[in-house]
Amino acid sequence: MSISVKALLPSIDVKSGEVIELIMEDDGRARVSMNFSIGDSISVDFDDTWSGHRLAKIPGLKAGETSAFAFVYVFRSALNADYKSKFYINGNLVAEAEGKLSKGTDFDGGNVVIPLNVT
Amino acid sequence: MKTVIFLFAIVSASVSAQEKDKISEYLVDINAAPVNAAALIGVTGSAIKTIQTAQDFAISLNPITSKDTKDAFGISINPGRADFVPMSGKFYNSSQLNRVLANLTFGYAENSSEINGVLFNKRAFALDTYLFLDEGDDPAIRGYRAFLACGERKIAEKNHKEAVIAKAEGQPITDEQLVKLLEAVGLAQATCDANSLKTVKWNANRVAVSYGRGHVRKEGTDEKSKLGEFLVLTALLNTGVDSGVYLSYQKSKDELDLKTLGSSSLMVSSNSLVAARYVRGTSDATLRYLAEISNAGKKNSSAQSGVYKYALGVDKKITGGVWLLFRYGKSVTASGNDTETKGLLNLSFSAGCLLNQCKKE
Repeated sequence: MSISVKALLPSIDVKSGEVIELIMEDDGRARVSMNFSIGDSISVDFDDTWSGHRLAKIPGLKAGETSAFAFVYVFRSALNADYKSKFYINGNLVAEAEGKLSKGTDFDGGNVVIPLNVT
Repeated sequence: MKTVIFLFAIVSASVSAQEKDKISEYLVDINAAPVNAAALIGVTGSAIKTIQTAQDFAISLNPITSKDTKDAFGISINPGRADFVPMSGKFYNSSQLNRVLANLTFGYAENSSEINGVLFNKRAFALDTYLFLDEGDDPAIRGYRAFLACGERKIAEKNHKEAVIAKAEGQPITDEQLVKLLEAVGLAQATCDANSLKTVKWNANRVAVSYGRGHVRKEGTDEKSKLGEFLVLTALLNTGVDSGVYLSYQKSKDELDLKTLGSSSLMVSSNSLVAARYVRGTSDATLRYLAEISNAGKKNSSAQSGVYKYALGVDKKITGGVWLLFRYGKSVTASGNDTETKGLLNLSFSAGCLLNQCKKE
């Protein structure tokens, strides 16, 4: 198997204290759990399986933050095990995850570091 | 036609191979198997019949005179679970109508039989679908809910996430440790899924509908006759913790009496068969007692030949997907002209078992 997650932009510029908008989209065909973590205090779970569109608004990033972690956990679905998703921050496509659960595999996960520049 | 069948077979084989992984998580043995060898040669005698595939339909049309069945070929495709017509979980989860569509199965079957010394080729198509009346009984919906409610998975994800971040911050965490923490996430969800499926009820309220039609052609000629049309409505109603009532209505239209094939005058008939079966099982779902009754009578209908008018029976689960079935009662004779008292002992295999999924049960 593999579910691979890759960052698509070298860095995302964010102003400290600004509310940022996170969106994850997929085709709603798999059971998926996601998490965004920024620094010590921000951790957002997207656990609404089969929804296909997940949105979160995060206030108050601290100046000096340099990275966000994106985690994706994909589980065997009753209907389809193929998987592909996109991640947006403030409307910018920042990362993609894709893969396929191979025969006999129930689960896999992946993660990526998304570079941030909070000023 | 041969080319079409060949291509269809290739697609079917491909779909079947892919589907094993996808749906097998939710395959559970909730019923005495619909696919069994005895049914294929027409000796089950039960009036409770759900046409699961066109193969059942093609052969059930004339169970008595098709003793020399050969070259049988049958396929069954559920497009909603195939990659070329993908249906999302969101679609499946959103309405009962969508689940009816998602569970729709198309089937095709053909076989050859020697009747009155002449070889005939039979072909049939069938459609069927089913629906759990309470969506919470649907194994796929159970999987959905088991995901959302799995606290153990969420804890395992948190442990993995914290270790990844800690490693990125320079703490001495090895890749092997991360792999083990990731595997723990999958294991936690698998445990939640298994626990959810353990509570699946064999007698959950559900309805099914099947429709099939076919034709027969004399080998080497263009002489073609309709085999007839079949409509079967079946319901299973929960009557207690370990009991249920099956209701079945089977309507045949222009059903050809195959015994008249090759003769100068073909005979067709249209009939209705209504049946009910009460089943009571043990709590461990390995033994079921049943009583059934039908309006089968001395009619010129091959579908009712050999069918029980009333019977008592026992189903014993031998192993995953394999059941031993015993019936004793009064039935219409094979010729359809009289009634007789008979007993039948059958071994049945569930579809899941035929797909090599028995080991999961």
